[in-house]
Amino acid sequence: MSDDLLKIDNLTVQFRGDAGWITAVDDVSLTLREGETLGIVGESGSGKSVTALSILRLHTAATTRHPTGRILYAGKDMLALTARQLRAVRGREIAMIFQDPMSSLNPVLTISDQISETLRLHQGLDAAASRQRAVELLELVRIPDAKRRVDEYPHRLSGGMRQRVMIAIAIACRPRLLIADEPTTALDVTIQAQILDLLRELQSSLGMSVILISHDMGVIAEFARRVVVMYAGRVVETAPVKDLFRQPVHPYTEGLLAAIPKLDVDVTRLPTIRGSIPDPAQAIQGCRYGPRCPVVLKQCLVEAPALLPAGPARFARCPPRVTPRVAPRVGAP
Amino acid sequence: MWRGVIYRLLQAIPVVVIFAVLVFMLLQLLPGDPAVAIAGSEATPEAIDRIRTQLGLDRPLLEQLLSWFNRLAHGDFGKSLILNQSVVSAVVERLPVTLSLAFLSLMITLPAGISLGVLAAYWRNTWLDSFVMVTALLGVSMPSFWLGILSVILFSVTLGWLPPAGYVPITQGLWPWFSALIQPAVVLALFQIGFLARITRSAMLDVLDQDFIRTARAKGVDEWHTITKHAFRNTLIPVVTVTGIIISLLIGGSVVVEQVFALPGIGRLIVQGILARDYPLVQGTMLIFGFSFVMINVLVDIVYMLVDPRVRFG
Repeated sequence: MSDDLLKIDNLTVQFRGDAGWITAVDDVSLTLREGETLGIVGESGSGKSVTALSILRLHTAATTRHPTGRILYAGKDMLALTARQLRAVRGREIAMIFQDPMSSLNPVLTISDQISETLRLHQGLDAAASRQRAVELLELVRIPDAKRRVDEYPHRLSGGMRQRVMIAIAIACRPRLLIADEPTTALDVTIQAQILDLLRELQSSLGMSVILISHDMGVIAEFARRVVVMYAGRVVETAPVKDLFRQPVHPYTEGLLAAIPKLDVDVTRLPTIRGSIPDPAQAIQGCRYGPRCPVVLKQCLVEAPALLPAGPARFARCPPRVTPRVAPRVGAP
Repeated sequence: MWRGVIYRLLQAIPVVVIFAVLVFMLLQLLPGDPAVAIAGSEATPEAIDRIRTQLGLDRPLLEQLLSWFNRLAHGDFGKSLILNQSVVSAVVERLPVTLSLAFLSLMITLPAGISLGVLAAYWRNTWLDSFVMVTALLGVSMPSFWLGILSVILFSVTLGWLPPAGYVPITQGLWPWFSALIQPAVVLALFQIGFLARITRSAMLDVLDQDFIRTARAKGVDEWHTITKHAFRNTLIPVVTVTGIIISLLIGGSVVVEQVFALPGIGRLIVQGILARDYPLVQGTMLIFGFSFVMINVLVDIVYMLVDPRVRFG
């Protein structure tokens, strides 16, 4: 499709471990249209951040390989770009913000230095112009007293302020795609909401596409239009956000949703998914969720189910059943 | 910033005072009577008494200590027993030699050690990394007197490119000064390069794994600027610390190297003083060494403030 801004086809990411190559992401495909907001959700180790970092090729090249797959951004295969072409995309067309604002900013450079750097690199601004623009950007991400703050060092700012600075750096060159890797995970709940509001506002005013990665179903529900659920390096379900919350198809998605605390129900213990995510170094026969799945079928343990259509605009890696297995949920957004 | 500098200078004062007391105690703590040792086994009791009075050893300890500090405060470090000149003038005469040697050696050590360390860290686990680390280990393992002798055999005796020994003041021309010092400076530097390269490498490895390096790459910064602008400045704290230690080691290490290359510096002076039991001379030179080590550490603290805003404002 021509209006796909980003198209990942059959991406596999492997890292070199002590005993050979370990597959962190296995045969992942996803698409993102211009202006769309895609949420990628999954627990730690599901491969969601690895997938995101692969888009800008931020993994250490010497210990990473991609046996299969393409990452097409605006028609360019990111995995085939030269270093120079890649740098022209990084920070200018695709920008990224990270989980931990405490460690993502360079402690020995001022805020001004760190914002101007992108502007000077990609827009050729001189020192005075880029500093002026840095102040404007800080005002745009609503940092009070921006004129004074711009000359501060990161250690003088709070976590929420630092994440705002990270966002200012990311939007400095008006990228077409913003990848936000767990942008609110390290922040207080009240600050989380502010940061999400800010991202949403910037997205509509700048017309960016956004990929939001989170393990938090609440954040996903609030922010994303379409959701990709990942488990153990694979996509297990993809659906529009409303459909996903109303009627999850994959038992893993169902388990994640069941684990969200509900305000109207008084429970002492939240439901959990028993077991833990499999070790990526170990081969699993059949469905990767099989050992934890409450409704596992015999055939699932022999051969992994394929990602099949499961309704309008949605796919799931779970075999179709004779009767609808999952009852419609109440209390979906 | 200035408050920090003044605070650190004030902190140095008690250290210097305590060190001066220790150096003073040297004479008291040595086994036997220094006066007897100085006078020699053939000396008459009158001669020993004279030396004892001359050194002030017949007075009470506290009085000796106070007069020691009084003299130090007036810049009087005593008179050498063997050189027939004051300790201060003996030291001042030889200081340029040791400082020239240390300076030249440092100018070799810093660029070589830092760049080798950075290269090894950037290309970690490759042949380049192994090569640098093995070379660094060799440099650290080889004793400098042995290396010095081998170097003289090759460059002075066999090839005849450089003078084997001696010192030429810089006032007699840059090249004669340089050619006299380059051999000992390199020998002295080899150990330090290995040391510095290892520290720089591990500091760099730590920094390269930090999130802000990934941020820099995600912004489109090229590898050269990622290393020089983003990573290197963050490695400076450990590198500056080690540089301070290295300067101290260079001055201390000159004791051996000055001996091998017959350079009339402080190191040789101290050896001379010890061999001749010239106590005032040993005390004076040790005080100079101690004082410069304290000052180097104060400088290191000040440089911390320059390179890291967290130290500056913290």
